[in-house]
Amino acid sequence: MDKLQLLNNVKLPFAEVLGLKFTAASETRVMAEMVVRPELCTRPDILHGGAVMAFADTLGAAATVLNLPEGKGTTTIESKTNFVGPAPVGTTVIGETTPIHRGRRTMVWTTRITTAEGKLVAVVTQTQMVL
Amino acid sequence: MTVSSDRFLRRTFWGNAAFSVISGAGLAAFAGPFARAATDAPVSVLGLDLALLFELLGVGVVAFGALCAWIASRPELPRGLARLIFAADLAWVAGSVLVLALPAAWTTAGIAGIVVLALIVADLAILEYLGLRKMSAAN
Repeated sequence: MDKLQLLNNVKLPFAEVLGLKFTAASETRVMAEMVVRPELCTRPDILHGGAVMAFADTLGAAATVLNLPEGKGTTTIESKTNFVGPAPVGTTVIGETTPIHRGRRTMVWTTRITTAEGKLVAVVTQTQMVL
Repeated sequence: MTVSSDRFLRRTFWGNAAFSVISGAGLAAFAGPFARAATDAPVSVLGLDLALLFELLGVGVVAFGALCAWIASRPELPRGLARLIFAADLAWVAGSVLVLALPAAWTTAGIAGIVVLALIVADLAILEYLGLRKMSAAN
């Protein structure tokens, strides 16, 4: 099965709540997009920081899944976010995840989240443990 | 985010399916000889003689094995049914202890057969428990 199809077919309930859709997938690069809906916002109407982190976390975990040996699982053990700019309600955010380290026990990924216009929203670095 | 692997539990269910289908079919096919070998005197449970009971039990075990195979083949492993299979295996082990306690004239071969089957089922139940726990821990 195609990797992108694989990611979009896996049932991830929270990703569905977010409205996350994977748009590109390979072992070294995963991309997804998400519309900033009002229920994902804080006051004023910009994307909530938790939603930014959850969006990035899902991408990092998905990228790890594409690199896992058969029969292995993964869990996030560390995550760090720099919030750089706002993503207003109604816009679409785009996430791009690339590897910093892909080891047997842990993998480290960085996710750049931008608006559709290319304005940087956040940069997330997370560590995934291989289970 | 956490993504767990269900490979261990899935393999256990395939093993349970193979064991159940083979042993169930064997029990149903050779119900008469098994019944004669298991007891010194004719045994009847709820009005059914032991050979007929073994035949029914064998068919039931084959159906159980088919259910295990169906569960193992699902793209997403159904947790509720997986727990049901685990509970059924525990019930088989408990049932075996009760059967041995019945005032029936079991032969040594009969007792050995019941104990060996119960030990195999207990092993499968332990593997299922570990598989279920692994999946729960990762979520």
